[in-house]
Amino acid sequence: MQFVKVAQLGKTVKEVSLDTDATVATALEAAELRSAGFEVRLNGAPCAGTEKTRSGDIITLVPQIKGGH
Amino acid sequence: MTDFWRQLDIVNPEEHLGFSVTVIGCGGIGSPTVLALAKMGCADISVHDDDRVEDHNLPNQIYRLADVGELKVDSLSNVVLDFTGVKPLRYSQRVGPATELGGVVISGVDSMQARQDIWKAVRYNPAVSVYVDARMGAEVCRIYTIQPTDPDDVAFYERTLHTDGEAQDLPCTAKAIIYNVFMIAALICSQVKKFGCGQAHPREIIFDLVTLSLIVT
Repeated sequence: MQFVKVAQLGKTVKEVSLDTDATVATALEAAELRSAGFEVRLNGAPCAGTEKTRSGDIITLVPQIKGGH
Repeated sequence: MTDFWRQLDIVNPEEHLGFSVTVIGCGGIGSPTVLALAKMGCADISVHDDDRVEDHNLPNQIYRLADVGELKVDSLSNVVLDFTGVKPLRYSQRVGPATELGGVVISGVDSMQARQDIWKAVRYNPAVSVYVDARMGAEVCRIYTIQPTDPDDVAFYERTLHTDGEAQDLPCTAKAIIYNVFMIAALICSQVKKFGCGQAHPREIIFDLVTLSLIVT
């Protein structure tokens, strides 16, 4: 078992418990968050959905933003 | 004469901030940034914007009630003068690919198209020593700080460019809030201070005040 935090910037942060062989994609699925329209970061670095996660990891969904308002 | 005694061991304006700074966009990102830069000790500041102050700008930009209807560059220049004695040079026009830029250039504009235009004037421009591009969306911000003559920095930055259509579509009532623009101005000034002092500065800062997330690369 491992615990991973998943943050969708501007919205929410969740902690999910996962099997030891979990990936970024399964973490997002467990957090009920979709990556469409976001950059996905694993501990700050761009990542693929197939990357393995470890306990303590932070997955971040980063939106594309453009304002100066 | 401003006395910078309280900050001299953090940054000494005479020693570290003698370069010119150009701020493009005088809205939520640009207006507090210009004021903070001047208060920090930057004395050679230029501001670019062709907009006028509107009522809905007052809650999250550094403008006064009496500034409504005035050109932002004029009002901002006066505000900064009142607070600091520094009078920024005013350009009430947009920056395009042919605009001559130099020194430290800071972008706080409202669209990716405007960023593309600024980038054409900045990319591999040896007169621009550092380029800071800040982007805001509600309580989220992304700040890029690069040297535009460094091929690695150029490639890194160009990977962050996208179209306006690819950006998050935020409702008009959820675009900006005063505490976020102060955070952005603070981080931009910190980047400028690091540059002036010859300290390492991150190329990318992403933060979100909703989830209190911070990414620094």
